[in-house]
Amino acid sequence: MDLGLTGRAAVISGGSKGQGLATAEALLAEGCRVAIAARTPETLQAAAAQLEAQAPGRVLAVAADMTDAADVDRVVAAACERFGGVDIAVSNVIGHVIDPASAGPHAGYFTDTPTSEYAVEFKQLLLSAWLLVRAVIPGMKARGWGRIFNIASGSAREPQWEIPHILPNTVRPAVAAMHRSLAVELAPHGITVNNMLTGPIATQRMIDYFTWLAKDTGADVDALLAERYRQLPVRRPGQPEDMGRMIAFLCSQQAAAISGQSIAVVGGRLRHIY
Amino acid sequence: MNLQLEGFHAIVANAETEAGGAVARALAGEGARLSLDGSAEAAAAADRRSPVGAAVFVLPPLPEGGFASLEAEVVRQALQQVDAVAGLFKALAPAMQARGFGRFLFVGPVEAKAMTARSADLDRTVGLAVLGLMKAMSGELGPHGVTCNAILWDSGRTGAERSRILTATGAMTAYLASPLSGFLTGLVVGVDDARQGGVF
Repeated sequence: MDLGLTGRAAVISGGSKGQGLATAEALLAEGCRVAIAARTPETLQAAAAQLEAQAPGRVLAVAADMTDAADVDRVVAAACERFGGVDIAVSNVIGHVIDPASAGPHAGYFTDTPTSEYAVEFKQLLLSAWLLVRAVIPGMKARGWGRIFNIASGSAREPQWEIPHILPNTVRPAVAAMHRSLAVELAPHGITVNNMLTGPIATQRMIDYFTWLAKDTGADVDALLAERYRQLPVRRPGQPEDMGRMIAFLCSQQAAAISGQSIAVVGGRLRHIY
Repeated sequence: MNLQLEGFHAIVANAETEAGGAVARALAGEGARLSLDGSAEAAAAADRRSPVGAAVFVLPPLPEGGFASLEAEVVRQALQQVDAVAGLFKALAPAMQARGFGRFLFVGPVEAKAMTARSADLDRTVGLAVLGLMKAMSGELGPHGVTCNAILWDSGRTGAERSRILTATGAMTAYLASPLSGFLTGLVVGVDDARQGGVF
């Protein structure tokens, strides 16, 4: 299927690892040009080198804190200068951190989580997505074409109370609601907006999370992961490519009428009918 | 994107309908071989001739109107569509399970999940019953490599909008029929230009 994406330009926040990186690979495979943004220069440059090898001359990497308005504007300006505009925006900033020694917000249950960490989680997840959308919308409207994605979590729709997850359980639904509202607002301009709900996808972050959880609870990490997968209808973890391909498809010309959706790339984990 | 559907055998039930035609064109465009008789008996026979990779049930247009105005016989006939979907599962699921691969897809009206302005009580009732069946089967068949997904299209649009919605319906169906989509099951994807439904 020719997705009609040759020459389209994308910006992906959190683009140096996991699903962000896989999305970059999928879009490059369809002929897009891709700017990735992430905080850590070393990780970013490694990802950029990998992508550049796949698609020489079509990759831009910008070190940035995507919760900072000036940084977001700088990333989008760099992409516009290099590619002539931004057609696709993928928000993939992560929320809570796993390492307890790091600055918060942290994984935890309600009783473990200081009130102050909610504001940080909102900054990470909602503010970063809002800043990116705000920066790319004028150009998309001017061209009458755009694709916006929020890589969210299944917890936006079904809280995960079996693991310490109060922050995403609270903040992810709000971010999804913002994108659902944007879908209606931007539909007349040829811009689609979709929430991508992620779940047990075998990224390093997921492995790190369960390794920490196992250590914290005295459980065996392999047993924890095996139980996690056993609860899925598909009985296995997904791969970052599952998300990347789905996003690439939704960017296509053919998918122009698919907007305002929350598409769960979760191996069937969510139990609601619709 | 190579959806790996070249030579893939798919059944499209009700391909003569508008949405069915869009689905059939999308699958054929990717090189799939189509069987267009969606009855349980024909599906079983088609699978014996050549293993079926995907079965797509497209809900045909049902009589419009509210329940208060519908004749009992009309309602009874409409509910037989649920039997037809169940029949496809009965006919194909065992062999798909044995092969460790299969795709069941339902293409229905967006009214199954949204209260649109259309007076379409049968679309809502039958559509939602099938969604329930699809979701239940996604759990039952998931461990065997068989996925079950639904695509709901907004039939209330006209002109270029309608054409775009039908194109997206066909393309989404082809994507979910693809071997690439094995991690996606239990989905309900609306094709409605963000017009229908709530946050989810």
